[in-house]
Amino acid sequence: MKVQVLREILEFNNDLAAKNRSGFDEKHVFVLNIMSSPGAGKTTFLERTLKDEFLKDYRIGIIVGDIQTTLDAEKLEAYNVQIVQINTGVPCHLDGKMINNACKDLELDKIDILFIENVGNLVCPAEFRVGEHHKVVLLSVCEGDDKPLKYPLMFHESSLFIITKIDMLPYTDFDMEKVKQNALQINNRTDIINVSAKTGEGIKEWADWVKARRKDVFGS
Amino acid sequence: MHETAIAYEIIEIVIAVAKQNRAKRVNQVYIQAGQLRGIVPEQLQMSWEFVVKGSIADKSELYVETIPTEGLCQNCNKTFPVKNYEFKCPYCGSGQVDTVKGLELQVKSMELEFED
Repeated sequence: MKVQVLREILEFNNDLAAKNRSGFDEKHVFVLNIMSSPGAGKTTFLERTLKDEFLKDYRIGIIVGDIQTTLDAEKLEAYNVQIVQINTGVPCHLDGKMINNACKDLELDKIDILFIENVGNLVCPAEFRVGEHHKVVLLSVCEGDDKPLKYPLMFHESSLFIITKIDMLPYTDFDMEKVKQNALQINNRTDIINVSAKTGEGIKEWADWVKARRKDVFGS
Repeated sequence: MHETAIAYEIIEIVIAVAKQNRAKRVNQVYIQAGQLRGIVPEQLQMSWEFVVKGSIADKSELYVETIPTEGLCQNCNKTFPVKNYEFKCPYCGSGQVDTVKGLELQVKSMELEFED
């Protein structure tokens, strides 16, 4: 016998993500889900963000997701932030449940901005909400300007597209105009910032973006 | 990898619905997946064979219906099929487009077998 089901496949995760989100809203924690392929420079980018202190008026928390190791958390530990490392073991993305658990190790009352560094992967993390206010996608100039078209969901869902390692642009055939065109073709509303974690270019612009979006949500 | 993660989510729902209906077996599962989800049906079916093992849905067939992407222009209010991920209105040229179809990810129905 055929039975109608009509249930969202990701309903379990979406419900948990919504629960996380209301917890964040209640405590005025602004949450960004930062995603990219492995090696695009998420950790170095966050490190530079902390080092340059454009967000020094905000208390920062970081959740780092990796399949294995605590290397990323160790790198970021040098800064005065609350940090939790998640090792997913097998899954190639973070999900609502993992973030819910990780938050138990954070004092959310003492965090204004929470960066969630997802597992390096341009596919699965786009599917699994974690309770974030915005998704942010990073792509380095070493990867190819066609990536937005190859991973459309990731770029479709992200409010901000950060092009990293732009100091390496002279050594690649990466076409900046083309990549922006490709990203905007999929998501006309996305903001785009060019960044070099090495030279610090674009870090202030990124920090300003974070502050402005936080203000949109919480008014300050 | 993506398909395996999705397959694990599907089997949770399938088992729950089968139990709720007191079914003996699940023979077929019908999925709707929006094009933007990037689900490759063959990949999902392969993952499916693996995740159903030993469950009430063991050896069940999974059918995937892919829903093409459709945009709604914010400027002229017309809907149109989005081809090649180009979210641009073919009528007025605006890029202010909402995605109205193409993000579906749903268990639509199941074929269940009951005790006689």
